[in-house]
Amino acid sequence: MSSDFPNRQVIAETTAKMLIEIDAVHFSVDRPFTFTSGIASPVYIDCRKIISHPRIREMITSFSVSTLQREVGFEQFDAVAGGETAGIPFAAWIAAELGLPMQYVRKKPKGFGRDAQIEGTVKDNQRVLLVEDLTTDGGSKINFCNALRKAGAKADHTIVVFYYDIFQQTREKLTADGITLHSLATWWDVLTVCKAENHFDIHTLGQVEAFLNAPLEWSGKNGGATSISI
Amino acid sequence: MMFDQIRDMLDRKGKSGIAYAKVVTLAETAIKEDGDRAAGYLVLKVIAERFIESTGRLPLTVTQVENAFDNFVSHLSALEHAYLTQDPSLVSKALNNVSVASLEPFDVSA
Repeated sequence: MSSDFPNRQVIAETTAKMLIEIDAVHFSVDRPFTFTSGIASPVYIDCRKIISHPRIREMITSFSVSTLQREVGFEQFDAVAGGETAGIPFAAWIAAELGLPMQYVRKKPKGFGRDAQIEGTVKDNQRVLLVEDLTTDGGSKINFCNALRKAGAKADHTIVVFYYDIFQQTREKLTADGITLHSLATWWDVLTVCKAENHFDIHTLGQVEAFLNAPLEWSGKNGGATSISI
Repeated sequence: MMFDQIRDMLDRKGKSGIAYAKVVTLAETAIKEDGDRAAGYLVLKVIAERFIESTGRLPLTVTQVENAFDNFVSHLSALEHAYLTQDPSLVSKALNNVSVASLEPFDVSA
């Protein structure tokens, strides 16, 4: 089990570098992407690529465990749950590293009963960590944690590899729902590494920074939605 | 008729995944409340669900989302127009056309 505690900045910078190295980071200023919320964005990240890179996924797992032990504690979880679909492999690796049981949470209930959205065994008052690959507005985390709670678990913490960190409402909404978000890296960390290592051209990085500073404004100017509802 | 509400919802909520999820919910409401046109709402619900299933968290471009919106609205308008004529044969024809179109794969060429 991991016993070292790299500081937050080292974890963030290293995670950002790994994501760039495996081409998980995409910038497209001229043909923006559209989030499911309708927000137009020059940035897109595919954390699912991590699963195909054993050395990187091992490091991500180690970073995740270190982050949890530092920010939450050593004996604060009884099980680890993955959010369908992308969260499941990350949950499996973290559960294995921590020596804990695992479940996964469906996006929608299947069948009937209070645990219709859960696969695996949930015990009453079990302290379950929710794991996902990323979060943008936090909406799916609330859905998954509420499903775990409905099944009898305590689901007060979630960890993601990547947190967009561009919408102030995200943390506020999660906090209001009693959920603490832990993450390894954000777009700001990726931007810092891109600038330091000269990834992408200046115009692209300028537009990315403009988006990160005012995402709704950038979206509106580029054909996307100008508001989000979590 | 609730076709205009579905169109407005999709437009107002950003024309992407979350908007289509709201369309599904609204179509289900329409099926219950406007049963004479339930088949029309049902096929729109199918199209909205296919958008969600086929796009997931893919990096859709603004152009692709706009094209999908235009496509959806054309189907919606065809159904709406057919129901307004109150001609059963035209309604049947529109339902069949949109049903066939609902199976076409999502266009990611843009």
